[in-house]
Amino acid sequence: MRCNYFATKMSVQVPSIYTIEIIYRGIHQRHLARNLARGITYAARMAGSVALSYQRYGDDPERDGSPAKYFVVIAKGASEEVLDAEAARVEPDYVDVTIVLDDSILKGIESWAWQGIQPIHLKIRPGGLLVVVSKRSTDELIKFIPAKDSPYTLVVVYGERSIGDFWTFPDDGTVERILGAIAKVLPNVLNLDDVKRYLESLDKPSERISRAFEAYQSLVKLREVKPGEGLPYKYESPHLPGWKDMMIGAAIPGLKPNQRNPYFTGGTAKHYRPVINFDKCIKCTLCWEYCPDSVFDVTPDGYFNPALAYCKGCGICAEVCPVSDTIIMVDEMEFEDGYGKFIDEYRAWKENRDAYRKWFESLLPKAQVISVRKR
Amino acid sequence: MSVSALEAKRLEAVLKGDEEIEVVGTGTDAVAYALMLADVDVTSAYPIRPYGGVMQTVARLIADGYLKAEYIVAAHEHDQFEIVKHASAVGARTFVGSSGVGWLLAIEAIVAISTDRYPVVALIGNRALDDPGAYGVEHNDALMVRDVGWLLTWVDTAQEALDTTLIAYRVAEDPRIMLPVGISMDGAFLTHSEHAFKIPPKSKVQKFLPPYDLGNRKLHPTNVISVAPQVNEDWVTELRRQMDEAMKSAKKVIEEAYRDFAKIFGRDYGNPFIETYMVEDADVVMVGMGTVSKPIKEAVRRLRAKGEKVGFLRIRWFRPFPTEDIIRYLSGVKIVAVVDRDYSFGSPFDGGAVFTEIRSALYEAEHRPLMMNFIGGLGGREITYNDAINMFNIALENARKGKVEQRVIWYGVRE
Ligand code: SF4
Ligand code: SF4
Repeated sequence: MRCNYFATKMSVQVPSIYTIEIIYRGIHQRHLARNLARGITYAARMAGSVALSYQRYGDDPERDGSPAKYFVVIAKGASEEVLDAEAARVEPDYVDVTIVLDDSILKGIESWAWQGIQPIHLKIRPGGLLVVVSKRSTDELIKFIPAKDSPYTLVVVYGERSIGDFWTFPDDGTVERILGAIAKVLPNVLNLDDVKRYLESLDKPSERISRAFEAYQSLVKLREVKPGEGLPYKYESPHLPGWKDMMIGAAIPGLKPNQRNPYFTGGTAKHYRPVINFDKCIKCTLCWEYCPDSVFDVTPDGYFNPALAYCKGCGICAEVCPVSDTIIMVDEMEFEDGYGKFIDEYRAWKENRDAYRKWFESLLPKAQVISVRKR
Repeated sequence: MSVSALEAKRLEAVLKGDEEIEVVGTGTDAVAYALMLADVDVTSAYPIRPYGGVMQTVARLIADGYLKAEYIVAAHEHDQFEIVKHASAVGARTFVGSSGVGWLLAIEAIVAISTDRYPVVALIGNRALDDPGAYGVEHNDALMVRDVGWLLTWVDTAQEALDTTLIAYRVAEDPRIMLPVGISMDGAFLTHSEHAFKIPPKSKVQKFLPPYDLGNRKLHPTNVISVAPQVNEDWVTELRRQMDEAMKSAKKVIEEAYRDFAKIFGRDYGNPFIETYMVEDADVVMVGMGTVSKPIKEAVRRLRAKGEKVGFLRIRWFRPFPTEDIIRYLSGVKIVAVVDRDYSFGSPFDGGAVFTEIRSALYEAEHRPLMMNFIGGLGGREITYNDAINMFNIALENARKGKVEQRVIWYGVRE
């Protein structure tokens, strides 16, 4: 019995499996990501493939805006058991496609696990696809993406980032547009008929199908990205200590003032970045006291300098600052320096106050009105 | 259960002098005196019987000035165990305890105490779990934590309760271990019966038990550390492996502690992990934990007087489990009959927890004995020496036949 069973199994060919990764903003895009993942899964299954999807569990419970992931695994013309190897994973080793639902996450991903800040395309196989929902061109987007050792194709699905309220899903056509885009760039996984078949099974089918079709037709923004093209950021997976090296009881050495945990930065979560006008600062300490993430370092001359790699972009500092236009919150996509790891606002100001003032004034019209109280 | 005037005078002697004294008290009193000798810093209490007696005696010892300790009355058992966990984290020697469902209410904190590696010592006055209501002994309360890094021991006399409490602190606080110890004591039969026992002088205890030192894990403004952050799948395997290592090291540390105990106090328990009674040439060996030892030993004596080759083995430390000793003493025996004052529904062969563990250990024995299991004494029902004789007779009959007809017997259950 046993021998036969294994003999049968071993003669089975291993078919190719397509893996799609969806990267989204925690909480606000959670249901969008799930609906997209399920949509791809349903469409693939209706087309006769086998498919499943799962969330990167370590990202759940999500934090407001933190990058999080969904995965879809598809095998064409195969039986369900072909997916067994992918059925109980934390995350896949490689993906064929990464879909990014918010272009500001292109700067990096930091999940709850101790993996440091990962480049957006870490998992993409050589020659794979990076699909981004954005209103920017591929040439603009490349300025925010770290360089990769292998080539990939950057694809823009034109559109506003779809941000729900807390845990809600704005049924705004994003899912349909991405499905249309997949039909265009990955017809061997899902073609337009497959997408249509799935959308026909939903409510308001003609509206949904026309959105998918629109994206399918208008999608021309492809760009081959060569190895080494992009921001000079090299990802090194963090050192995970062995059991003999760890302190017992999950204790870790604490941080002294102005010291920070290199593994948990969290700065990739921000949509908006605080920019400080040190010329106007009265050193009242409020930003430093109120920042929920202890982002501000105290400078020798008593200013408060945000360690931007740790800033979540909540805007509380801007809200509590008593001097108008002294802390402004600016769209993260205005900055081409990664997620803020390398910029030191205070030092820039010290080095050249005139240049800093001009830079600040150029950002002022772009400042967002963020009212934490209103939320 | 308070300290009488007579005891008060004698307590002065053990705290200041070099002589031991004999007193009469309950098993829980004996633990309370051990806490006095061990200079416990913080105890948190929440009343539930049968553990509750120890609270009363500790309160009296503090009120009368024999023990300087913080006595914190908690809102409920979960608080109670959280309090000692945190006290232990800042470097306080702590004591806590509960019974039955009280112990289970605290289970989240109980597990965090071991996974955070705090050497808390707890008394579990064994009590049947609700429902229905029963105050009497069953071991399922303590057994609930058998897999999560608590060292577990069962005592059967007030003297052993006192001595084991001192040993427990020494073992738990050893830098190689840093795990909590649960001392189990049968509700009623030991918690509420009064026996004579000896209280050693504190001067000797100080030689035996070094001060509690958490080293670089002590939470203190001058030693800034963070305990138990979110680590997810990246760290958890390694942290559990550390606990595995500590638990494996515990046997050596327990042996060292008993050896030093015998040297300093002159009371030698022999093998720390098990107590054997006339097992050497026995055809049938009964195994049990806690006070069931008393009637079984009486049965052994009476049956031996009639020429029956029977013996008894008491498990003193259930975690770490005395696998080697179980194999050494039970390999080659004709019948091993385990008396479980607990149940493990749906377990292999539907036996009790101790039976299942012993059966597993004996898989490695060169000559595997036949095995039987008596589930008995639940909810505090008595097991008398006559009951033990009956059980032995069933086992002896099986031994003569060379086979076990009914593997698990619910002893004394009314049909
Ligand atoms: S926006 Fe301001 S308050 Fe919020 S995390 Fe960043 S620095 Fe702190
Ligand atoms: S809150 Fe504004 S004024 Fe006060 S210290 Fe911070 S930046 Fe300066």
